[in-house]
Amino acid sequence: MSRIQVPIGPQHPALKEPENFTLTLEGEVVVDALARIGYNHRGIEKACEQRTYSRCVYLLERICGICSHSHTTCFVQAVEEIMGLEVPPRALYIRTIVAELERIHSHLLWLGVAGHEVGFDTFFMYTWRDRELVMDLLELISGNRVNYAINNIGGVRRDLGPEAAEGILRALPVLEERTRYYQHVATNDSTFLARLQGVGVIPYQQAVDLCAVGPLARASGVDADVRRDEPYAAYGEIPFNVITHTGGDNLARAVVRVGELYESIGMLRYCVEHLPDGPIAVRPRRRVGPGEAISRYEAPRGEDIHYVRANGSDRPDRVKVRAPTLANLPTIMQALRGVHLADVPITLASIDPCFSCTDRLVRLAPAGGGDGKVWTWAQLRDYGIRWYGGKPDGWR
Amino acid sequence: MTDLDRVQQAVDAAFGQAEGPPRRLFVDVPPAELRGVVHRLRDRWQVRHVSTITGLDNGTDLEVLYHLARGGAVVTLRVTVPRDRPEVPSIVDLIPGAAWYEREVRDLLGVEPAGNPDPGRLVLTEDWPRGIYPLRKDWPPGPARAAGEEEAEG
Amino acid sequence: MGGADWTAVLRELFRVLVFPGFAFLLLLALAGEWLDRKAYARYQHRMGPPWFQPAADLIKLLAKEDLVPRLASRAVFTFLPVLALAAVACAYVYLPVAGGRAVYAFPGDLLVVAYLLTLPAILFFLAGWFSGSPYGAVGGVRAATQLLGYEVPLLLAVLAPAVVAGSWSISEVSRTLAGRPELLPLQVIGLVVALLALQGKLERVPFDIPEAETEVVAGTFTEYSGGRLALFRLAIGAELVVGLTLISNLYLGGHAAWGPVPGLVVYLFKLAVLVLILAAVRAAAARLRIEQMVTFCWRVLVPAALLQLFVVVALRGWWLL
Repeated sequence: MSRIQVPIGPQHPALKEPENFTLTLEGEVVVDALARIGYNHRGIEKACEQRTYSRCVYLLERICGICSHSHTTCFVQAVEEIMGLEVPPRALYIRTIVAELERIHSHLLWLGVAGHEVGFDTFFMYTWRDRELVMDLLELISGNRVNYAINNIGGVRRDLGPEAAEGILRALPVLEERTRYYQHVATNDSTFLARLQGVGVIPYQQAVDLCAVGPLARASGVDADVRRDEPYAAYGEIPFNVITHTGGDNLARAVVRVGELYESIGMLRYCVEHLPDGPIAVRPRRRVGPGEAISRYEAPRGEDIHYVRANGSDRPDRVKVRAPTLANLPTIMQALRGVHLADVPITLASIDPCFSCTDRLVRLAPAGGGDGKVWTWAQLRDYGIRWYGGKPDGWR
Repeated sequence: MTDLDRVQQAVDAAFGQAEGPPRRLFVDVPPAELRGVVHRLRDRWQVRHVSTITGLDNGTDLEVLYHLARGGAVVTLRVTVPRDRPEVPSIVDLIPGAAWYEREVRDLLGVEPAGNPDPGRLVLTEDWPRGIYPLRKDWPPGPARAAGEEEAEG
Repeated sequence: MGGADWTAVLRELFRVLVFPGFAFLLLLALAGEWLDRKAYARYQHRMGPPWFQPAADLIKLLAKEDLVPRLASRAVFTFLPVLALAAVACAYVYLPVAGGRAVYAFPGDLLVVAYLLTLPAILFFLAGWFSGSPYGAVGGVRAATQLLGYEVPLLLAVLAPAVVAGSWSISEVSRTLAGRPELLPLQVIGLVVALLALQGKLERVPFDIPEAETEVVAGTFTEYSGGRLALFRLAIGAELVVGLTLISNLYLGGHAAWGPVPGLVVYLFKLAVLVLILAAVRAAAARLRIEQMVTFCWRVLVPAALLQLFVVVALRGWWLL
């Protein structure tokens, strides 16, 4: 049978962010898949080298819209390790609370996206409605719905008041009941099962070899979770289970995520009930190092790792960010082999891809130009002023 | 004692402890011995997870840091290569998950992973000029400093 | 030609073009689309659109730029949506509407209507195939493949009421069954099969495979825009009404006046109930893969339709007559 190549992206309804996948098809079956990433590079790692540490936190918050807290926590942990800062326990608990709320928010979002990818829009509408509960809590705690800006080097920026604690405890039973319902739907609805079961299988060994992380690895039976393996924040004191599954297919990934929702709800309850008293931050020095540190963090999508090298000044020498999606993309490229074209969207989505996290570098080549011209910032700025200068006032 | 022996003894000592490996371990590895050390870590100590590979420019040389993890322990292999001949042996055949990270370091710092099967760009566009590596210190700094906003913050 | 003849011609034209013909069908298509969207939204805990939204969408689309891809044939591109709407509108005149009377009726119109309703799917295939877009081509092929799935169970399902009534005329079947409502419960299986097959014909979840947004963008209609897309959407809305009118005639005892309730109200009520059921099916399922859909049709719907046929034939043979 003749092979045809079908491009998915960079613009495609199944992808919420620009990225390009080239699929080679035999009939409706994918025989080869290639990823081309980099469409979202914004130069964050380089930009960090130009900024003071406190402004790096602000910048790293914006790596990703969903797991913004993951990246800042990971970064401030690394800096605190270099400085040898003792972060107050109350701050660690508040970080954990925001982290677990973020995980619930992210997993509910994913369940909805999974539903949408297989045409189950009702599931999408339901989960996103309930996600609003979590978003409201995050707003109550931090004042923001998405980029919470709760982290600072040395602690957190806002205390968790009794009103917020009460709000969390009030919302948890509702979330728990809704999660039970979603678990029922995800494991019983026959059309949903027909689309998830046995699709995009990753065997255990493949997940290990390709260094998969997070729910993708755990759904293939890899028992790894940074929260347990290397407890940070308050995780050393909180009882919870690591959810694994041996299925390795898209259904297993859904089941693992639903299981983690339960665990997160339990952890939140524990955190709020055992919230220690005391200060929420210590004041850091302005200059850091010299020194280097590696910080790991279990983001909703898997292990997030930051490497920071400090040279004794107020700006980092190097900040390296590796978000979970980059770790999982090679694995999912393997999972795509052998699936039907119709199953490509859900299989791609099964790692909960976040391409903003994956891509972090700036691209300054002019659009459509193949000459490889690199623009400096000043040139780009001049170009922008000239372009807008020629437009009527309404453009500004 | 050869370089390989010295590095392997350090690794063996760290992983052989009764209380398990330390949380962080930094080991300097000569480029030629990288594969031997990775092999030993993988087969003797079950360190099979490449968390990521960091490339950095320390001003004189280029460093490539291999962060390998097992459970809560991260062992970092630090390979230093000269600027004029930046090349490290690829470890893709030992740990396939390292493939994309090696390509990322090649794109951004120009350290060639000799033996990586995929010659394509990973994060930069295909028309990005050759020989320009954005994460090297001599590449023009980004917008923050150029726009002069950083100074305002004080 | 005498004055009386003119009146007859005018009355005839009115019946075909206005009520219960074309204009009424378009009005119902918009109303049906609204009810479907509103119910779907309410099932999903959303507010849903206001009553005038389908009309507003139609006007908006008509005002939009209408592009024809360079690779597509302009004549075919224009002709197909018009033909789809025409086929559906033609079928409507053979269906008894308010008061249980069709504009036209002849023995055998059931088969004509069944084939007229098959036309849109074939036209969708052609529209996708000739639009010069890979998404359109894949969507078109899927529309044609899907046709092989639902068409046979749908034909088998409409056969059962015809056997019960002993007629190939929809008006005749409708009248016979309205007179003997005790026969209606015997056809529940057929009703379910017909509704599911119609869901496939209308390319709605779980059978919206040809238009699967996350896979093939908009499938067949990817390249359509403006007025041509408006016509296609209108044709689909009309097909919903025509299909449900057919089902309501064959399985729900037609639309004769019910005591003091006028026939028009009976008709609208039955139509609305069926729209609500189809919207519920749409809300409660995920999209199947194409081979899962065809398998479902042949393994589940066809045997069920055959069972229904067997039941009515057996009953007719023993004690119905």
